[in-house]
Amino acid sequence: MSMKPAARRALTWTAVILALALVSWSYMRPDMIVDLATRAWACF
Amino acid sequence: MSSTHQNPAPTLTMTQVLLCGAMIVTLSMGIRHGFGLWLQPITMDRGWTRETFAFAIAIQNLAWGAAGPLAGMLADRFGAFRVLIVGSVLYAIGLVLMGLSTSGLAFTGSAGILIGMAQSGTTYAVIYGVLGRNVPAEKRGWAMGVAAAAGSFGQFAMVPVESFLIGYSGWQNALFILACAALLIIPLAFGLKEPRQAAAKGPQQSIMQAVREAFKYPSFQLLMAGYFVCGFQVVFIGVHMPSYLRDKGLSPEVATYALMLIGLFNVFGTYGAGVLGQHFPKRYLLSLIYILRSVAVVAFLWAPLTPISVYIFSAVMGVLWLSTVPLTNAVVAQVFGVQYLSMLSGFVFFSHQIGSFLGVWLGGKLYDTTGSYDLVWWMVVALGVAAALLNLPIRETGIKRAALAPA
Repeated sequence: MSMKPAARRALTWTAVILALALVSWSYMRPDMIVDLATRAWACF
Repeated sequence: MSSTHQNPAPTLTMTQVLLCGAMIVTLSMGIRHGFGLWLQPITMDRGWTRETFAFAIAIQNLAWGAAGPLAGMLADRFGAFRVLIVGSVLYAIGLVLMGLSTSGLAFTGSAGILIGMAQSGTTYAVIYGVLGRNVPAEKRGWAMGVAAAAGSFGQFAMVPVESFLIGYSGWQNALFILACAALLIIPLAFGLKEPRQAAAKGPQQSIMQAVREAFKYPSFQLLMAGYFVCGFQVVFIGVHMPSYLRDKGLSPEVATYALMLIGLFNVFGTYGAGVLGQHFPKRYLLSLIYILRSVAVVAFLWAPLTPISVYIFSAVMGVLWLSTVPLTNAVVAQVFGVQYLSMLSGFVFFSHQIGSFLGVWLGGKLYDTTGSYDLVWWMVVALGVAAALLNLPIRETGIKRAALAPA
């Protein structure tokens, strides 16, 4: 199923903003990110 | 008879080039950006002074610039793919040896020279050559903006990752893990493998002809001068601002958030510059960036220094941080064509790195001599104004060439 260009653009920008927000968060609360990464790692 | 340059037909799809190129610069720019995090653990563990570490990083910046034209020349001649493979391997070896070095000399050789050379083969100049040859001219500025934004994102995102790795596995293992990450450039380089160029029709410009032509062309000299200022300003602020803020009594947290804001807004700035470069003359945008940097620094110095003023300054400087990269390289491509784009970008970048070296060194030297950063801040302002003026007369149209003798 192909996406409309506008939807693809919106999805791309959402992903970019989410990635930037996650990285910004990791600067402000590194402990939370370490905790999150440890939990994610434990799933494997 | 005269002719303007002709660009070869693209051989790779734009999506493929953008995706692989962006991921490569994310890795190569990102890995190096967090090296400051190793300063304390390495110097404490090895019993070195901070000067030993700083010297190796300064050499890395110079090696990156000095090897740039050569890496670019090889990429233009033999393909970016091969240069990326060698660059990736050098990066990995450099990182491993950086972790194993027990003397200052070995550390300078690995963290300084090897990694500097590796960066010259895996960063913008080499990637922009492939982008230039495979993205249509009308989308080139935008594509360069995307690649620059990816590098900016790498710088922004890798710092917390590297901080986590050092805390989780120790500084030495963190370097070995990063060496594995640097090797990921190899599979990505396959996405930038251009088929052997079909035998060129008609006479072609030689490397030496291209170098002579560029260095005799006033606009190229002006671009190099402007880029020198960019390196001076950016690296001085990046390296010395945390100490400046501490001297003025602000907490280290403010400096951390300031660098974070620079990184975050840099992503938008580089992308935005690429997009704007598609619609407006790049020389005016470059001038605007340099003059706005000067205005931002003056406002920062004159306004009362508070965490809020630092954050506003950092956000503004972030937008203007690497936004010169896609514009400068797009002008080079526009004027000289894409045949030797990596090499010519390498020369322009060499000038940037000399500025970077002087920004760090003069920042420290003048601080030691005068007891404050004031003089260097005003040099940043004056150089910004000079760069803004120097960029105005740049000609962005394709260079007219006299007919070349058959090769």
